[in-house]
Amino acid sequence: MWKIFGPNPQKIMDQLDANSTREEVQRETGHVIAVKDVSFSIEKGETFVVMGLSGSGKSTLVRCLSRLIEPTVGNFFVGDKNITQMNTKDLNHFRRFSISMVFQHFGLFPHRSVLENIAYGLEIRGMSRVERLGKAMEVLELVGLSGWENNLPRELSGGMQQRVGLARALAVSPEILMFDEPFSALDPLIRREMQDELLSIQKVVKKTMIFITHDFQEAIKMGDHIAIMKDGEIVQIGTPEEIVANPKNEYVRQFAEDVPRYKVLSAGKLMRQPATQKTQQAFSANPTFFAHTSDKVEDLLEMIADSDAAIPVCGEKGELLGEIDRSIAMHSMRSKN
Amino acid sequence: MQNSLNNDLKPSSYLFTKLIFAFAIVLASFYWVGQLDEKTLFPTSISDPFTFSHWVDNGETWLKQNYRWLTRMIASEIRDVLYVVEDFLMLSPWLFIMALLALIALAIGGLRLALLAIFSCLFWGGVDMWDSTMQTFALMGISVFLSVLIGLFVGVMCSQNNRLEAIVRPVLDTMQTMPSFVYLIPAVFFFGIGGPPAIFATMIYALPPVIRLTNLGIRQVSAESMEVARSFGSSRLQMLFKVQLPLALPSILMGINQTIMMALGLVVLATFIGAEGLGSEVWGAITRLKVGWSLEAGSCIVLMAIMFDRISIALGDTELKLKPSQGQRFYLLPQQWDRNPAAIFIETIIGAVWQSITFLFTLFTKALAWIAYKIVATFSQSRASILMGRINSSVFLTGSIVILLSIWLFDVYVVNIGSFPEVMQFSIREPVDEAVAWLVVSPTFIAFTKGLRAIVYLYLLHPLDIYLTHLPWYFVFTAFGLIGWVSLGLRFALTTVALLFFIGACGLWVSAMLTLSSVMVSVLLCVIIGLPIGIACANFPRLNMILKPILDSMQTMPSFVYLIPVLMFFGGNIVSAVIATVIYALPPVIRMTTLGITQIPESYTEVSHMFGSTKLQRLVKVQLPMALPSIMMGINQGVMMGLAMQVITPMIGGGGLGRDVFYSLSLSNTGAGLAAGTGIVLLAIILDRLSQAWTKKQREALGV
Amino acid sequence: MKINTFTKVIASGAMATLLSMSMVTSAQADSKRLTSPIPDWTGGAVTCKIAQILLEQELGYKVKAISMPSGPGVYEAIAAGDLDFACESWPSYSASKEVMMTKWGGDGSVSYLGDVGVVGTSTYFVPRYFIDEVANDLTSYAQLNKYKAHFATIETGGKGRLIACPTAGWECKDQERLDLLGVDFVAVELGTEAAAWAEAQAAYARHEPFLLYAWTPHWIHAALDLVGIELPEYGSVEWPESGWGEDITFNYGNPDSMSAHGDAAYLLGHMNLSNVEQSALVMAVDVDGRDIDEVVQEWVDANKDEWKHWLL
Repeated sequence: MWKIFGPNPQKIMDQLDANSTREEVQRETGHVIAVKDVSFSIEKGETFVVMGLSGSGKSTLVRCLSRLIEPTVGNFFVGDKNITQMNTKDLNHFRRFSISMVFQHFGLFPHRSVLENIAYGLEIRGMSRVERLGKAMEVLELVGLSGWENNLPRELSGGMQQRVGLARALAVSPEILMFDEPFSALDPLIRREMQDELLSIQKVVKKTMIFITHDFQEAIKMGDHIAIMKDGEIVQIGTPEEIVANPKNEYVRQFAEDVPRYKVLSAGKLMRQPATQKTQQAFSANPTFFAHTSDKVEDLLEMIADSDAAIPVCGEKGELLGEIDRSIAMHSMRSKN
Repeated sequence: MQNSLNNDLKPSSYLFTKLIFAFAIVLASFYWVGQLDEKTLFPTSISDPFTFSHWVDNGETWLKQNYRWLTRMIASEIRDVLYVVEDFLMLSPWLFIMALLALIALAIGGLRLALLAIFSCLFWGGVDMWDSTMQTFALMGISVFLSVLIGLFVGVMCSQNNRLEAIVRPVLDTMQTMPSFVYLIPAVFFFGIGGPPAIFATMIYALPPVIRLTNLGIRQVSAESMEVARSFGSSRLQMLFKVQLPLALPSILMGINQTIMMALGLVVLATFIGAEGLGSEVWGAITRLKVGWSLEAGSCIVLMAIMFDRISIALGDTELKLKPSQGQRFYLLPQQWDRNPAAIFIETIIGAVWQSITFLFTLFTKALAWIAYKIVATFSQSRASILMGRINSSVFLTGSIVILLSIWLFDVYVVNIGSFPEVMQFSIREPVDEAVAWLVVSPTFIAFTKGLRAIVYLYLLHPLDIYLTHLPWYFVFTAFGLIGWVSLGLRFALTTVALLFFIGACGLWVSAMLTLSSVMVSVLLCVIIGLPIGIACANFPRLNMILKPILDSMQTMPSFVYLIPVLMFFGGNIVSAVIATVIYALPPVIRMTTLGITQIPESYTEVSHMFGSTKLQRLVKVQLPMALPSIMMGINQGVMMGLAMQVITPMIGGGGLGRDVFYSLSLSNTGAGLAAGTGIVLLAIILDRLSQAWTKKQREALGV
Repeated sequence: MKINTFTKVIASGAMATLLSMSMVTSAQADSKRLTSPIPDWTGGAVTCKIAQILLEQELGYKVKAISMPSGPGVYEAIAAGDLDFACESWPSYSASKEVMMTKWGGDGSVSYLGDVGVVGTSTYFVPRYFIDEVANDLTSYAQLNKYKAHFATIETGGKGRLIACPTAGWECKDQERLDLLGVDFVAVELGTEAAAWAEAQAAYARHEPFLLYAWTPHWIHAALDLVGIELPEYGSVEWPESGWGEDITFNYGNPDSMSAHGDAAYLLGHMNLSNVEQSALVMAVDVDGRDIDEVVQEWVDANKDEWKHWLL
């Protein structure tokens, strides 16, 4: 997918030299390439995080998906429906029923009460007043704002306002939820609380989520898959673990360095292969004492601390693949490689 | 671009360049002024074949022949509605109308507004102008209603379409600055006499603010709100009605407020085409030279204006207070007076009244809601509870309906209330007339006015008149062109020259220069008087509090009212015209000066305090420079109002384009009237654009 | 949205009332109804009131009187048919007659009904105290230059000032006359009648000299003691050809309406009121401060012999 801003993006698109950088294009043509040849796929029910610093094109990208900004070139499929090719009527239908978005600055309507804000999406669909307010009330309870329904947004704190924003997005029960830096305007403590809450809500609703953030830690915490963007391009896509373990270049590494690796990496990534003779013997002597490859190091810390010997690490079928010991765990606590 | 401008042009050096530039122009001009001959006047070889007024007259005749049936049809529809409203207002018992107004005011703005409404009604009836007031009321009501209807529609259309906005904008400018006399008399042939042409003329004048502010309000809705609405799949109409219009509501209400104020400005003029009401009272008083009488009628208009103004502001401020809220404490007197025992006593009584009104209303509504609930509940439980909620949430509405209904029933079945009781009437005519008569012969006062008149005429007006009329036309063209170029760019410079060319070609050159001179002198006097008062108001809140209602009255009092006293004090001549213009154009200069100074962020004044500056230093070094954009805006408004006044001042000896308008119309010469009117419009447009450009640059230079 | 519901309720209520009431009141035009403007000067108002009372009491018309300043607006409205007739036009002061009345070369959209009988004469006036105290010999224009310093103002420089015929539209050509007569005065047009009277009254109150253009009959003579200055007779060589002679005032009306209401047109064409008669009524109103309806009704009651000839 491409997005070029400027007076004549289509022409630029046709003439574009694939190797020229963003600066070159901007200098020569005055057009800004906001999204440059990005493609990815998202599994149903997963949380896909797009992470990048400001100006990296992540917000433009996510707006291109729902066509709040028209992409210059490219397609976005949901199932077998091509959103990019839809006419206005179908697009509005898609927006009303299949997708909804939570905004960075909450985007609550100041002239509507909390409940009316939440019911907005349903109202647009033409749902009757009684029905939509009933539905909105349910979602209001889900986000823990019971009792605030008749207040105006400005009477709420930032965290509460974003709960309303979240509730408004949830109320329409969309297939896809999009989050545009939803928590970046909040205090650190509230932010963490909201992250945890979203995770727990996600456990219940199991929606496909596209989550934009500039905070790498948040990306690691929320994402099943992460795409890291720089200058309109995706630098690397992968699970949090893949990215932390194998940063593709210096840029990604800089982010990864700040992350306590033991929290992200699993035993499978860090284990010594193959297991030593000694561990193999210990495993056959006590086949119930082992760690899974998918266990995060953080969760094994007790075990490692209590055991002087290395701990066997097994794959999904219970086969012994390697071992992990105190020295590996301690090394993983350093952030730099 | 932006940066370089900010870097090399500090505010002071920017002003300095401007001054040098202006000085150079003035200096160069003196060379020319000495030699008045044929060359200095606009060449007749151009103005003779340019028979603009003939073209207009032909167009008017054509319109008269072909479209009169249409305008007549519209007029008769409007007339029917007007009669209905007028009958309703004039035939209803006065108590009913008073209760209606007071209750609306109560619901919208609380007890204070309600008291204002009651006071206004008592005044209207008290000076025996109840019927006239109701006639004006009906006329205003319909004009404003139609203006809002059309204005909202056009405003919404403009907000959706940039090209339409670009077309409409100059049209609105013209509508606002074109002297209404120009279309008032021709309107008679198309719309008849009385209400309909008056409504038509009022709408032309008063429509622009609603359109402007609706458009602006909608365009100012944040991009985020719009994006949110789009992301939920709102259609364009849903977006408009559910997001844009509600969010633009405060701005729209402000537009309606301005529209009401402007509509009231036309009340007196409307009497020239047979629209009766307070305007005819003012005019009748003026032709008989009864200052007190015209002041009474004028005060009726002022009270109506203030009441409408406060109500529409209250509407814009908050939601309707249909439910009395706990925090809503009412103060009649300024809160600073709280230490005074008498004030506390008065406030306590009023507080108690307020409490009991609220209590009664609430009690009554609760009872009513309960009864309604019981009745409807026999059919449907859920509907009943919704109904009860509705009734309970609009305490004032239900209470009001009951009060109004009972007054009506009382009037019909018990005692006929009839018209305003004569016992309650009073008059301020004699004291006012006596005061004026005393001032007219008071030697000190007359010596003062004569001195002022001599100074203004000999040292300001006369030299400037001579200077401007003796300047060769091509010099004025070049000067304005250059100023336009420097301020706004080449395109505006060319437009300016084209507009000036039109004025010259219509044969209005000398008149235009005289008008320019009058306006410049008036505005200069406004600044000399207004600036110190504005500064004083900013420093002494109490003075500001006293002056505010006076300024309000000055702005809404029909200028006709003070024409006669000004004339009697200053004599019939061009200076009186200037003085009347100053009275009319002074309030915005004072207001904007005060606003500019009081709006300066606390931190700046704190800084200057910390450095130990004196009051004067603070004023000169911090406050005035920071307030300059605001003051400039006030001056700009003053210029516009001064130009608007040019059509009124010929009535007491003013000259220039205004007199041309007047003269042409008294000869039934629409074309010439329109040409002179257009001259005023063009001057207004040029001056407005220029001063706005300066203000904007000043703002940018200051970074505010 | 509390605002919405509230506004809706009010708006729909108002609309409903308006609609229902407008159905009832859209009245048909009554053939015995006439509309006329009340002149904004007392003399005209008296003339018109007499016409109105006779139309109503003797001919059974209903006359709707509208207060509307005289001038082109009235002519436009009569031509358009919104006003049926108007009383006592002073030919010198109504330029529109040349556009609209055939008698003066106009297109005939307004018709001439007949003379009122009141004849206006115009001249220049000075206050009596000035003659008594300063200028005993000031009787004609010839002596004006001698006293011009007394009449000078700041704006006129060394010349004397004439508070001129106030509106240029009346085409009094004061300045032209002064120049032709060799009077070294400046004619200052104040734009409206009211302004001229106000200026004169203020100067009178201060006991200052002034030269004022005015005409008779007029209430100003009741308020101020003014003396006319002798001028050469109208039509003599010194005067501009278009100048004011005697103002033979007339009534005028809409051609269609007047031919439809022959009796009304006859009355307006034949009524006759002398200067003396009108002055007495004007004095009663302006000087004694009595109600105009009352004064005129008394006159009508007392003068049946006179007005019975005015009726068809």
